[in-house]
Amino acid sequence: MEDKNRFKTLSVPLDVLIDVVSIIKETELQNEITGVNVNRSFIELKIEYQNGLGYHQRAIENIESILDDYNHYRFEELETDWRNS
Amino acid sequence: MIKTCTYCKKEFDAKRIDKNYCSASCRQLNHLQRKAVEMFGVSVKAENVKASIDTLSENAKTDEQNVKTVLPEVLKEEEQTPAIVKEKKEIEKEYRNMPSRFIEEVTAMYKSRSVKHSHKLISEDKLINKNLVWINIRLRCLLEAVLFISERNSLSLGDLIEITNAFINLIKSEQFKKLPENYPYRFFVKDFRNKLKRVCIENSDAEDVPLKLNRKLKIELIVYRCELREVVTKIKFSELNFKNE
Repeated sequence: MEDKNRFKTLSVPLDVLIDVVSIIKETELQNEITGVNVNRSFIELKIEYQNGLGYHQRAIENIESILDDYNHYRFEELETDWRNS
Repeated sequence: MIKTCTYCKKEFDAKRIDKNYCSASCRQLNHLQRKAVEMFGVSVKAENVKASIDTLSENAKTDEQNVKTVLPEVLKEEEQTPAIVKEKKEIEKEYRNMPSRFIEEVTAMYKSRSVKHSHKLISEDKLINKNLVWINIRLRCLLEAVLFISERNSLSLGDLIEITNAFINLIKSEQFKKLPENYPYRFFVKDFRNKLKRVCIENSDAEDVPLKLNRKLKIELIVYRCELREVVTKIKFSELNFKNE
């Protein structure tokens, strides 16, 4: 039997963390913080969602859209060193 | 004692004087016949009544079985849709995209500024254009660096002084002095240089300095970076000279 629960790991910057957490709270998505990067100000968030469940799907798309927009404005590439990036 | 059955009219040996039916079956059938007369006002053959009743009974049993068969499925479905699932279905219907306030603020500022300022970055004067490009490349590089270090826990005082000096040299450069009056980042560059100098002075004894931007300033820097991205390419800090060329 196919497992309907899927997982998605996202890097969530501090700037939009409150927005992402609001969506998770609102839609009751199961989540786990799997990492914290203090030097880049983001957290690694593992989200469990039910595949095929519309509102879960839309919530994930909502979060990904926010992260895409953020990355579009904030980064051109993921810098590792301010002098040589 | 020989008697005649009230229902089938056959003779039978009655053990008791009050016995009117040859069998329990005839007694039952006679009872049914009487009931049929009472209910429908007509006399029908009890066998037909019994057959109908038997059919009804069978149907009733079947219905009962159906009810017993269907009911668990209905209950099972009910069990599968407890209050929380129903609530989730309601959420599904009502789900609305939740925008990011941070992104909304960046977008709003970016759109409002691009209308007013983006065209000012391009001039028909080649010399002014050359100065603009020279400054914009360095300013973009510095904004990238400041955004990067502001997201770190802290940075060394030496690194902060290096970036502050780059801002100071940029402002002192001939190219900066020759910029048109309406250059959109003129005030920002000078103001930010002053802020960096203050942080350096306040942390002159520290090894590591936290450089945190408030929300408004960070949005401002992100928007400026996006505007500059449209007109100049990204060049590494280590490859740029911030003094006059």
